[in-house]
Amino acid sequence: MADRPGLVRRLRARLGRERVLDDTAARLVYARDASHLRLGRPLCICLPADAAAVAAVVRCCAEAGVPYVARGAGSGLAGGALPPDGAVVISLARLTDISEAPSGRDDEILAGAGVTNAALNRHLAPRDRCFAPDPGSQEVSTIGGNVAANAGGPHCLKIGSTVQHVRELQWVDGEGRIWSSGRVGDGAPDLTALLVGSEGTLGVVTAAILRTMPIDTGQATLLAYFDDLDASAVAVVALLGAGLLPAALELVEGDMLRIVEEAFAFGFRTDAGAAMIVEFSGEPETVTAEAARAVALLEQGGAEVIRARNERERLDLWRCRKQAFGAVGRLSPNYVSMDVAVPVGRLPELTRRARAAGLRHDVRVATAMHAGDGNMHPGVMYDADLPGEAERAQAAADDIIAAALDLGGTITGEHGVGLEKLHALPAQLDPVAADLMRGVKGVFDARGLCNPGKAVADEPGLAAPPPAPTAVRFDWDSFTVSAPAAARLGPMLAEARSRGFRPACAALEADATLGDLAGHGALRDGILEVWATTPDDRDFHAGRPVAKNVAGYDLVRLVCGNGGALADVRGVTLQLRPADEPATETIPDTSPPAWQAPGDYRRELVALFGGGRDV
Amino acid sequence: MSGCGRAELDDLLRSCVECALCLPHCATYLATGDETLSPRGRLLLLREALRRPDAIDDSLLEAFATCLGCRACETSCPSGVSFATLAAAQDLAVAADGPPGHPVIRQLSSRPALKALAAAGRAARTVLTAALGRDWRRRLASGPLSGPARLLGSLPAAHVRDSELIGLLDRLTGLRTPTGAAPHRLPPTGAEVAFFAGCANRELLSGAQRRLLDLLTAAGVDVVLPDRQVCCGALATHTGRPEQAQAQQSGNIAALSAAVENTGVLLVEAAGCGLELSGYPAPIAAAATDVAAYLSVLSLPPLRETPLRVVYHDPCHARHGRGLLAEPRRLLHRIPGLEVLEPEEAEVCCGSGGAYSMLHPELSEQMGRRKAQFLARTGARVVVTSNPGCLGQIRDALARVAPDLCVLPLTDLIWYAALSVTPME
Repeated sequence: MADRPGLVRRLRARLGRERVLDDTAARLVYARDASHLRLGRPLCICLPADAAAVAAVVRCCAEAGVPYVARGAGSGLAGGALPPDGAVVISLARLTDISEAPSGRDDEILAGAGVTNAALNRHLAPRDRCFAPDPGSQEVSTIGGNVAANAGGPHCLKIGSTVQHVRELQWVDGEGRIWSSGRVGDGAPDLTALLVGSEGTLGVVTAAILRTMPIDTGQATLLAYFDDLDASAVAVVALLGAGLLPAALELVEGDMLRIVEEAFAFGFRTDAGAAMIVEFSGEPETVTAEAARAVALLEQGGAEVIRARNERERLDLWRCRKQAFGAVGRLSPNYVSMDVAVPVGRLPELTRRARAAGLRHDVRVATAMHAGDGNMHPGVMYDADLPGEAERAQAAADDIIAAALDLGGTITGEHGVGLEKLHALPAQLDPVAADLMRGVKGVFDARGLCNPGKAVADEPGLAAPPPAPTAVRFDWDSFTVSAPAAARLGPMLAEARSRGFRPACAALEADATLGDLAGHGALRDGILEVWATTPDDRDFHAGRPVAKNVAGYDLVRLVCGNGGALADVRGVTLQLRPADEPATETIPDTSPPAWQAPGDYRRELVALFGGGRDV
Repeated sequence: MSGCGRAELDDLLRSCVECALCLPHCATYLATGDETLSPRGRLLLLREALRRPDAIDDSLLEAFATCLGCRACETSCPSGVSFATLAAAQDLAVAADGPPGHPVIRQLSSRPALKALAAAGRAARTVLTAALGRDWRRRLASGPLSGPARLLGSLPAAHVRDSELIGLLDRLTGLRTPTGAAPHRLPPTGAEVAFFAGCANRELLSGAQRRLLDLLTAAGVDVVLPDRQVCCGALATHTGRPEQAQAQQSGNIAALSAAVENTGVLLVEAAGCGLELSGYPAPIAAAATDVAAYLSVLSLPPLRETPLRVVYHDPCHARHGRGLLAEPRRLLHRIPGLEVLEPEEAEVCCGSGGAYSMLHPELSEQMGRRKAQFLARTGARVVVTSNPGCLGQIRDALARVAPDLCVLPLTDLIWYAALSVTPME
């Protein structure tokens, strides 16, 4: 039996009395996050100030057999950081150090898990650089939380989600030992990608070495009003199909626009059915030309288009978008904040089905979305004090999730499975992939104490995997290409270029097969979906043909980049990018890890996948 | 205090969607990293306390009592949750514990006591500087004298003699102000204003107030100083003594009404007094005008080129309470050559909070240190602000964190810039 009173005493002995809270107020507050879900009341809350103190807390919990849950700022929307009854909350809010990365590279920065996106970007601004992911909660969301959820945000469209911006993690395992996740691109199983998006269920991430990017010198931001949401979703596909890749491409439904206008009086039109925010960034001349093309396309689609005239107008547009969900309180006391994603070409259909779900269950649905990614945020509103409303809202939400899956999408694009979507996860995963995910959890959390009951379901996977591609297949509505591993890059490249695109790939070697490129890690930034076979002959499918997907662990990147040590890749789906976009950085990276490399975990992963080859 | 019925309060609480966007604007959360001491945390606890009064214990009351009342959460909230909710939480804390009883606090609205305090403070600082050197505050930051040193260090003060202020600013700007310089006198404009002196401004910052009145007169404004004005009542409100606040309000209405009716403008120096007066009955509330806002649009005597980097600290009661954001900056930008910088976390409270710094000294000191670090990081040579509490709190924090940086009342800087360097006709 767990010795809970003794545990609080021991934690206080390690951290100091004032750094371990077990009073009524703290236990009530830390039982909640931004999700409206409830799970249990924690035993206590620890506020360690460095990784060594975090490790000490984990050791104490392991000895006592008490579960622990890492927490950033509690801004998660899927209940991923909610503690079970009697668990220890490890708040990382005090791990706020920012320093130069040990590699000395000027495109990297080392940030503690408790640093907020906003604070990090204020730190980087004087050197004209930034950490690119920008979740709506960026003022408060922490790097640890970004890593846990593989956070996205409006500007992921061009630059990718958190996983594309993390080079190495420092993390604490279930025995209270501090490890590196290994450098991305070091040729070993990609524990960095595995930890990103794992919702704190595999270990406690305490610091991250992050990739920083130059702040673009040119920006053009457009606001386009549409009569209805469906027309705006069609315009999204038209813009991307023209080979334009905005930095961000957002839609806000009329209802959302009206509440934000009520809250902040930006001066937006309140009679529109939907508003689109399109932002181009890069070299000033290119940006101006791209914006002009976009204006023409949008006007053809029936929109009234306004261009932000100055930085203040530009920031107002973004404030409008980012405050939208906080402002929902003006419409309704409670809401289910969803984040389904579908292939972009299916977005118009998804908006229709989401509206139908609201009508069917008699609940209000208001939507904002990262439209360019096919990532939709329907807010399903209800009043928990009115009998039956919460159930009807959940039923509508479940219908929307089913619609997203039916359209080839995912149940969660960026918020995470958490507690909220555990019930929906089995419908997305095939049995072998779901099994492997549970196995991964067992490898990293043998004691079962690290944020238990989140992110991966106990139930078997129920989805029938889509058939592996037998030939190269372009999806010109959704800007993806699927191909067998034996396909060579050259012919794909030629066909894509003829339409103004190219497959997302770091190395454009025409003779290489996709299987080779996957093994070398060249597909890491643009791979969406994989069909693979483990060394002990289990076929599985992982990922979806969508740019954002955080349902379960990232098996897609885990099986790539290590020469097939974990599985043989049989087929892949890649993103298509505009042909003139420069290829991403080259892999491998030769910087040594900043902390001790996790050799045992990598070996155990190989064994889990049924292999015995050297890593 | 909250002025809000139970049904209204329930509605306000329901509009919080727990998004956490208030957290990075809350000084107590930023200082501690403890979500119990955040606006969202306090609202959750208030909901619990209203639902189950038997659940209220010391830990909930502590969370309520440590709210500064700065209202930064209110201006950051997308859902429009009103500060009235947190005021209601503070009412609960006061109802349970009685008004906070620090012996010094009750004296803060007594004019003779303040006068004595100001004199004693000056004497004590002189003695300590002689005995321990200019960094006495840092030397006494820990140890048995840390409490009294903090009280002394955070006591609002301004230069008594004009020559001291001029000497300091001449040194920082490299200007050489001739002896006897004064603001150029403009002809009377016919403008007439009533002036609310404020306890702390009148007794602790008397030099600055004299210079402000000098500046207004030079600008051709006729300033009326109504007799018998008393404390605005903010202190009594902060410390849970509504009857006293009400009595003070009645006294002021009697003292100020005639002058306000004649002039239509009641100038207020301290942001805290300004917010309190804006809650008075209509004629006074409507007339209560922040000095910086007034000066920002007034025809001032010519302001001279003043090469100096300054950072402005917003008093919460001005920025969040009254929405005064652009006005003080507009005023500063009227000084040619002045570089006005913005600190990180500009919207976050310095931790002074009226009597708060005495009721929660450790927390207040942590907040002050954080604020001072951000102010120092701007590279400014001078911090300017317009509330006595902020002035004292920031001066005390700077003395420990960035002793080369000084803090001045905003109006002192304007007065200095208005000094005429050509001989008066």
